[in-house]
Amino acid sequence: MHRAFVFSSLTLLCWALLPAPAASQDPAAERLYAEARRLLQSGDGNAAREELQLLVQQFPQDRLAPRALLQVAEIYHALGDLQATRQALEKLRSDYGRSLESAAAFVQQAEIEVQEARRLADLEAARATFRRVPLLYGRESYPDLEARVRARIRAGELGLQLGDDENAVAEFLAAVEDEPAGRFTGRARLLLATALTRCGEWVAAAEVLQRLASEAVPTGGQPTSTAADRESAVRLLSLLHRRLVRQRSGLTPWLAASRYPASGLQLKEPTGVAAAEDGRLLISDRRLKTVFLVGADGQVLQRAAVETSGHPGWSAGAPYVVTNLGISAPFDGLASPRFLEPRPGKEKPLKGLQAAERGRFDDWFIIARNWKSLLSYESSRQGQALMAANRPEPVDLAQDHLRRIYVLDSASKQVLRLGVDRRQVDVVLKGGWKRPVALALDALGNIYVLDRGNRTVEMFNAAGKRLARLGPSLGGGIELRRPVDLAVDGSGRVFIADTDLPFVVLLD
Amino acid sequence: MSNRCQNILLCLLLAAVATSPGASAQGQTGAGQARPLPQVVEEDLDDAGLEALPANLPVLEEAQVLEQFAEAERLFNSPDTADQDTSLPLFGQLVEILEPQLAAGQLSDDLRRVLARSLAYRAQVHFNFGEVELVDSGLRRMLEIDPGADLDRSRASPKLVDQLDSLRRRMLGELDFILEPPDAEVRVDGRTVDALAGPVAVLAGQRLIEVTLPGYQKVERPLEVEADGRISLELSLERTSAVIRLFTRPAGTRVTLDGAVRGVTEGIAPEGFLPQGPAAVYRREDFSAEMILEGVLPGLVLLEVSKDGYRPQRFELQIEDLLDFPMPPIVLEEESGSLVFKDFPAGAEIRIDGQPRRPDNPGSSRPQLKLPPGAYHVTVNAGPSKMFSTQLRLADRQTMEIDVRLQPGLAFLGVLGGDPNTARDLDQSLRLALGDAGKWSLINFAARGAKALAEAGVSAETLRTVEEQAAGGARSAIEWQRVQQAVDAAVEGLVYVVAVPNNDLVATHASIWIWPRAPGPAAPDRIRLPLGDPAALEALKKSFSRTVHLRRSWVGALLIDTDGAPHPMVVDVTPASPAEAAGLAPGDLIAGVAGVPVTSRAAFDERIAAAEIGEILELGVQAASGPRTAKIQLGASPDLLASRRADLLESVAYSELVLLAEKVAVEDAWIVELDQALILLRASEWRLAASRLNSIRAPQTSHGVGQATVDYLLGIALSAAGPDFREGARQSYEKAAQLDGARLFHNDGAFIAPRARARLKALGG
Repeated sequence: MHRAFVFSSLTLLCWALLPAPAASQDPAAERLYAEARRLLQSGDGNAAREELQLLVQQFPQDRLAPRALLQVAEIYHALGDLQATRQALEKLRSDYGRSLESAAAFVQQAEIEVQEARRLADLEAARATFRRVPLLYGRESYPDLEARVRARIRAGELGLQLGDDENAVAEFLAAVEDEPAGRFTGRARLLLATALTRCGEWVAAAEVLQRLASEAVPTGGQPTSTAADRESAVRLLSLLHRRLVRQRSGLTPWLAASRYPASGLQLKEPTGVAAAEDGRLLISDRRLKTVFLVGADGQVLQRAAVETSGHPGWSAGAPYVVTNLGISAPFDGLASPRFLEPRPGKEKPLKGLQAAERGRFDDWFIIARNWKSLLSYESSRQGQALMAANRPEPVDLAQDHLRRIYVLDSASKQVLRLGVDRRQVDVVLKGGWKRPVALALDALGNIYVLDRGNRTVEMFNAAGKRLARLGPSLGGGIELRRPVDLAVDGSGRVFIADTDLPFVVLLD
Repeated sequence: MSNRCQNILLCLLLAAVATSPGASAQGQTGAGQARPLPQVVEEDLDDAGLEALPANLPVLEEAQVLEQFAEAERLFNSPDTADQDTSLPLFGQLVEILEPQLAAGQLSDDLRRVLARSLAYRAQVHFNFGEVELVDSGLRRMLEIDPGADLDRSRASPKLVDQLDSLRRRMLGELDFILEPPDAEVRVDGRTVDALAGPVAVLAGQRLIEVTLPGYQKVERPLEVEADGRISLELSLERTSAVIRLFTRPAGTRVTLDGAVRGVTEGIAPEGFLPQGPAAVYRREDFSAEMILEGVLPGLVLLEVSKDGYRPQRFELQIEDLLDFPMPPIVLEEESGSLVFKDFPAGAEIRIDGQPRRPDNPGSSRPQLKLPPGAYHVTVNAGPSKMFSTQLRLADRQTMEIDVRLQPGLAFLGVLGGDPNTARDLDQSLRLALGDAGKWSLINFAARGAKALAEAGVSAETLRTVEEQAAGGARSAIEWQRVQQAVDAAVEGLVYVVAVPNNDLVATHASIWIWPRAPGPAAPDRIRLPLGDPAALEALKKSFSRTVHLRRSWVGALLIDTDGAPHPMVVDVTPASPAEAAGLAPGDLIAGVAGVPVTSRAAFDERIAAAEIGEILELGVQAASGPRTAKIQLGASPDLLASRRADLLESVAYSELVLLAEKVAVEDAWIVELDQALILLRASEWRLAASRLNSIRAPQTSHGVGQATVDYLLGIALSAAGPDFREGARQSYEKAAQLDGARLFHNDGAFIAPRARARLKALGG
């Protein structure tokens, strides 16, 4: 069942960038192809692959051959055989270099490189692969090629991850201005705005975002943006409004505090809050021993009985909670990963987890009680202690848009940032906090610190300059008492969990 | 029969076979052409071949028979005896051909006489050859067919003449007619004889005499005729009715008498017929043969004549007595109406249903054209951008004035492919929809268009293939510039449209291909049109009805939607803009426009778009300092063709720009040129676009659309044009990056400077 799902999903992957294949010149080839599709739909990927390979072998000149080879690669990919995937893609590029499928093969190859990346240099190499697509499959010969648009966008996205914002702008511009409008255009515009913001061109970014947000859905023809694109645009505009326009207008970043959610959820002792980019919240309550998933509209969507021990979080759009012994997805019932203490030769389970962040290479960064370091776990459960020389007392973690790890150190009252080499540690800012407990970053790189000792929340820009401070009284009759966690969503709304308040505080 | 003679006859028959309808095309002789004389070939044939031949005798038209008879007669009368010999097979062939027709009762009186004379000539030749037994049978047969037939007694041998006279005495008797009226027609055994010329020879035996004359009672009389005897026959016919005699122009006119159809006139008026009076302007050949209407009784009768396409006529005739009533020649006039063209441009061409027509008064500023009644597709063509087209129905005697309103031509090149029903329905619905598309003159160029497309290698199949390739992102296999050139040369119009159903058997949709006349981009727009969907047709029609605007109203503020405010928020104000003059500042919320609340940027834009340039609007502003009202006078901004819109047909837009260029104010000419360059850019015509952009001189404005816009687009065109143009692209981007306030599309459009900087970096600059 699971297998069938995998294959039916993967068909969307490769065929999504290509039109339906041209009819075969040979009925026998057509039959093989149809049979492979049937097998694929029934979930028998290996049998489908064999049919497709037979087609390529027997009818190498057929119009269906490159398509079959691409699907062979994708089946291998779905089965996790990356070596065979690469071989199939290589054959496709060498034997059918001018086909549309070979352009899609480049994209696929680059995606595998991203998937396998373990260093920034790997990402750089993947970006180079993406960037070859427009060079090899230019508009002169391929006027309307979605694989090329996709490659430009992915190259831009990797540029953003690598901090190469201006080149990312150029990639997204090419996708928006040089390519025919298509279903990826909205996404490219969204990313263009993000990249422009990173370049400090937030007004230009706002113009792009607003044009996307106002885009009318055409009654006929293909839409050039999705509802999700347009909603994301409004969220980014809202973030710009809260963090930049208010500042430009001489206003504070927060105008009011209120209870959240407004739906009447009665909490008893909220201990954690995490916000997704789209405004969904994950709230943990120690006394209720429950976590709540709250929609962007403030309605409770799901609840689960979990005893948490630290800050909850979101990874790739999915919520997770930190328990004493591991990290778990509270609503999908999957087994929690467990970790071992980073002591060579001793297989002792790691306990007392407080906070966790998933890194860009599918690794985990963890803070655990009694460990004066940042723990890093790559593919194995065996970890590595980082920042040990600083003797920090880390209490919370966060990532910026470059997926760099920020650590809130309650000992030094500093926010530290782990270098790319995992050795260098930069001091991003130092605060006069009494007992800092929680750290958050927004999409613009602003840093938020919750100080339980002073019962304040403070906001700093990426350069470490304090922009605002609020508390204990927040206005609206709300006063912080024992704040323990804070979060920022994609539109710049700040949420605070306070164990003495039966609600989450919303700062807007 | 001598061997020589037999051989000649056989060869003749062979030649006849070769020229029969069943023979090869090479051997066929066209109607009306002189038949080639059979070649005499000294060659024997076997019996089997001889027996098979008669069944294959050719069927000759009467004219051909007469022609062959004349040729045979000429040869017979030639002083050269060899020619006389050659005439024998020709006479023989005529006899062979005509006898079966006589037996079938299909022979006219004229041909009957030809047959008899052929027999006579053949008997003379046989006589000359000494073939006595053939002479007697031939002459006997001749008299059976035509008792009045005779030999050419001046040339025939007296012996032969004697032989004939002997036969006549044994076979024939004579009838002497005395008739009242004398011109009554006499038939003996159904064959007309000339009773006025004297005694008529008839075969001896039982004969049936018939005497007729229109308006008189017919007389029939059986009669026993003795050989070598003479009977005198006196007959008087009784008058029973009046007779109307008439000729019509043209033949084929239906004649009705007192409501009863009496027939249709036919044939040609006989020699000697002279049209008189008003009919004198016509030739004899224009009139029918005489039609005789019998059975008319004295009194008032109504004669009606009619023919499709002609004006009918009615005659009330007072018939006084039982007499003949010859009508003056009746001339039916063609039905017709007149078209009068008002505001006709000098030198323009008129086409009626696609065919060029010279007006009846060439050179006049109000040309006229006389046409039969009916439905017409009338076009006036004074160049691709000045065309007029209308469908009309013209009635007889109607004078229709046409207001010639010249509009740009939309040339419909027809439907390629599809089953006949689909193609017909699609053709009709498209022509109906596009013909109603306001500012265009739809001209149907289906025939010429299809020919031009075919010559350029474009068919339904190639277009479907291109569509399939385009769906995959591959380049079109069609050289569109060649297609554009071919169609430009073949038809008039600024924009061309051709439709292709997706399937020749069961089509579900059609692709509508649209492209402009050069120098517009050659690559076409393509629209998918579901068949039988009125909404889709309406949308297509709307695509042709849009207007390209060069200017739009301008605010000069960037407003955004945010979930942190209930109204659009000002985040940036352009210096020296209407917004700045109105005192708008970042952070202001625009709560209403002209008293209408707005809750989104889209709603704000809608209100602004509905207002005129220069109009003063009241804005409800919620500022940090409190609510207030601001008056804003909308400015004017260049309005370039916005980034790709699904409903914008760039080919149509380009053509509109061509028209706009002819009449636009000087200060706006650069906007037209920039729009055209934008369309070329989108069509990937990089070099053409770069060339066009290079020539544009736009205002050097620090904010909004201006020369920096041109520079930025030039950078895009040059960087796409190839590595050779990289330096030019870099310089263009550098210039564009210098003005932070420069915008794309309009003065509140996308910021150019950060874009130019990013593209510059990507170029390595």
